[in-house]
Amino acid sequence: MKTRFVILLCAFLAVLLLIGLNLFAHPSLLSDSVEQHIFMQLSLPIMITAILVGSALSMSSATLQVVLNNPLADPGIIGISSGASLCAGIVIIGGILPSSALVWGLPIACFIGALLSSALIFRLAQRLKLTHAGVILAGIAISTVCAAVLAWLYILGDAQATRNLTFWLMGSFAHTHYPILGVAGTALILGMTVLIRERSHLNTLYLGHHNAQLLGVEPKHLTRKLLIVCALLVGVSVSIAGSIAFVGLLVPHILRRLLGRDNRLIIPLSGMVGAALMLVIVNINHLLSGVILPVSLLTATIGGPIFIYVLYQGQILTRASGSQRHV
Amino acid sequence: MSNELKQHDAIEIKLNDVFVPERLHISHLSFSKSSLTHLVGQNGAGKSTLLHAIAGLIQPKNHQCAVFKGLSPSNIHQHRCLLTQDNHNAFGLTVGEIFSFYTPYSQAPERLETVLEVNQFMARQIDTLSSGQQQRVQLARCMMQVWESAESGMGILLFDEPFDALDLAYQIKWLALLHQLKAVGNIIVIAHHQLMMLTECALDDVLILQAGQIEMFGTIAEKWSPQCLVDYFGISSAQIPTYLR
Repeated sequence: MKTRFVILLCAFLAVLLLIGLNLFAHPSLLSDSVEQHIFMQLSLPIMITAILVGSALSMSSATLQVVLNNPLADPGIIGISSGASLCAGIVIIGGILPSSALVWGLPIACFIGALLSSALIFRLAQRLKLTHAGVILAGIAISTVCAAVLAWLYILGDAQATRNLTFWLMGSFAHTHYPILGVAGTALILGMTVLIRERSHLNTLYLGHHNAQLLGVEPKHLTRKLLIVCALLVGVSVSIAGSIAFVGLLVPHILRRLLGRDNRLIIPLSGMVGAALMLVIVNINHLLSGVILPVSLLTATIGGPIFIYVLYQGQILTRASGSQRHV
Repeated sequence: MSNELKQHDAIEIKLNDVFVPERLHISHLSFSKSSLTHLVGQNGAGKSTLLHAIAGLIQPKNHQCAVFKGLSPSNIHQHRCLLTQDNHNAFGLTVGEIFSFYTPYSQAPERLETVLEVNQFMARQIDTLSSGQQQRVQLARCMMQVWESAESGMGILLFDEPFDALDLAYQIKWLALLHQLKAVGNIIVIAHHQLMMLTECALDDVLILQAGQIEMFGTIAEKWSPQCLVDYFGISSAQIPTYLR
């Protein structure tokens, strides 16, 4: 059944890719040099960004949920994305780096922001013996602080800088280009490779650190490594596509309900489904010709009602608050 | 690996100068092959800490904590297991998933299944089972981790409060299985509060901990008496229940 599902999913992804290509490529693509230029310089980077960011966010969320032992963990909800956005805001409005250095400077700044907020959340979770709900509340607190600082930056920044900053708050695939994709894409692919390689070790964390240690895994080392990689993936994703909500929460959650909790399957499939979902968003955006909607607007529109449905069913909350287990 | 170990005829546990501040202070302790030790003592006596030290979960101040002759750190998890008290998960894992993530088996081997009867729960989420059923699953999971070594007498099996929520029939069947595993050479240590069991297991060993220190260690038949309850468990002679006299 699982093998069939993987094949179906691959086929689905391929179809979406074809649809995407079909939508973007005009029939005269092969002969018209202007169309070729538009496709290569505008459409293709958008699709590559969508695939990379969708995969990275979903895979990092699936990993974070197990590491924090919290099915509600999502980079957006627990404040990792806002840490990255804040650093992006400081770099853009503060004018710390010359525009030529943003290609590598922005991913690094976002990575640092994501890493700092992840470390803070993890430290809070450990030191204060927070429950599942506590981790989420700590994340909300960190997000609020970051949002407040960003709002101050808005007031202090000039008009152009604040327009650029809006992009980070809403999410968009339309601002990437090949140079930044070269840097960010390499980092994302490396990060995702690490997560795929560690996916079977991730299974040992479900019953807590002691049980992982008894199997010969070093849970502290593994957790630290995975948190750094997740921060890298989230930070770099934010640097090329802004802050995108809900994808990371929904994709792994739905996959676990359909296919079980085996991370050997869930981690790579989360990447594929996340990529497919982002391609759907790109296609929707393309169909609404003339209007480019922020990605978070679409993901929240689709994801919000599904999230409410899931909460209504009590599938997440009963587990999160019922067991009251400490991280 | 197990065959290689057999040739050296060698598993044993030795602990020297184990010191965990305010919890455990042991100058010397060793467990030999073919032993089943009942680790008893009042709440907070250091039973779990001692099991954690033997299992390598905590690293006491010096490095002479636990020496497992013949076992290398890289494969010790195939020989040593510990049932801890906290095994909750937040994701609603099924019993089958727990077995597949934590053991080399997809379901309980026949001998274990005969005693614990857990394979019927394979598709169930563990948190939908009763406490006793959950405990049976966790016992099976823990033993399956080292089952191959245990069957060949090369296992170190540690259990923290294994009788919790188990009904009497399962307690008796499971303890009988442990005695069979003891007979083939395994080292077994059980921390528990079921003191009435001690009188039924006269040939096993008893280790009494009090305030992190060893107060008594030896064969139950030789060392254990109702007077121990007065000396180490904080109750008076008049309070000793009939079933422990």
